[in-house]
Amino acid sequence: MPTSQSFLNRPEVRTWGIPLGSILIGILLIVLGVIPAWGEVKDLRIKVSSEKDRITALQEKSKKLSDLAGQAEGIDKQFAIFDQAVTSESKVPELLTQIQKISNSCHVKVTTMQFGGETQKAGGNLLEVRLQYASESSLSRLKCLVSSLEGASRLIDFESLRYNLSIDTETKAESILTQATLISYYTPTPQLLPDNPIDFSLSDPDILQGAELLKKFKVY
Amino acid sequence: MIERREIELIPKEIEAAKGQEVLLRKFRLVSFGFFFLTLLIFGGIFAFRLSLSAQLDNLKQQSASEVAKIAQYADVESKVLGLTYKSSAVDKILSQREHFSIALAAVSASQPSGLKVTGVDVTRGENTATIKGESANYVILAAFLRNLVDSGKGGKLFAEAVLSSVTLNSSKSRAEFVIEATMIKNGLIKPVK
Repeated sequence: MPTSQSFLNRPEVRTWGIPLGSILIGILLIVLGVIPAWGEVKDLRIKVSSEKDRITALQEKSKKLSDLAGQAEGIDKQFAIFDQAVTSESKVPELLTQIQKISNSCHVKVTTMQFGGETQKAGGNLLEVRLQYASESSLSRLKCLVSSLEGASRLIDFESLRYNLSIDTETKAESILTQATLISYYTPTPQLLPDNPIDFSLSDPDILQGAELLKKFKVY
Repeated sequence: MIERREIELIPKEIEAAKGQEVLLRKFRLVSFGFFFLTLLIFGGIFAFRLSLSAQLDNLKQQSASEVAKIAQYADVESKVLGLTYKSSAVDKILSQREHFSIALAAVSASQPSGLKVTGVDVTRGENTATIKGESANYVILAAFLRNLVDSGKGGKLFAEAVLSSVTLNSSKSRAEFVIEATMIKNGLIKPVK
């Protein structure tokens, strides 16, 4: 190409071309190479640092779990106590059976017992099971029923309680007709995420006191 | 007078050419220096980046190995987490539990003879209880209202008892009433520990 040859052969190009080209390539290296590579290096350093922290946390968790595996028997025992109070599934038939047994033990005649659905309690790992309950009894038996439900091993709360006195027009016999909404609880299956730390101790006073408290509740 | 004139041994053009040559040499030196410096910096950063990438890969392998170790204890972790959930749930339920048996006991404790409670309505989270009944006379009804807020009787639970309606049932010769009783704050909650 005669034009380019003549341009490259021009003395000023031959004199200044190479140093100017070097500066230009240097600037291009900075703009296209050094600056992006430095950005990547900064990102990588952050990632390396966080990965190191993660490994430390994972090692701690692994060690903690290894220690807890040695206490499996104690954990199973405590778990069984708490699982009786707050089950791991809704276990509605078992709940209905327990309420029926409590009603029978207080000589309360159950007229309605209906599963009313499940809801998640706001902001926690706790789900509620609702039951509509109706019964017929005397006042003393109703009091027995309410106390017994409050002292039952599977925790049951009243959302509402309403009773009315009913008089049989023929026999003039009085009876208490009760309507209640009962709530029992269960916890969902825990999601195991490796990065979630384990902050558990079998000697945690909350667990020990809770277990002692639950032992006083009656199993039906 | 003899005029002295400086004798220029080197012609001006040659001197200018030499100056330009020196300037050009310096410029070449600076430009090549700049080029090699940028090349060196780029190479250094590139090598550092490669080393960091390799380090990160190695760390990821280590963390994957730790995750695998943790997965071996899935049963224990599941139990422990479940126990943690249940323990905090039990604590929450029992500390917030409203014992309706307290309300029934408070109403019974306030009930004078000659008055029959025909209905009670209590709802969780509401601080009023509705009490319906019938009384032989207004004096007994007044006594019931007093008893409901008497600290030795229903006053352990009720702070205020207001008669919201009273009707004389002439066929029964009894006064039928409805009372709205306000409970003290957390009156149905028993201390857990």
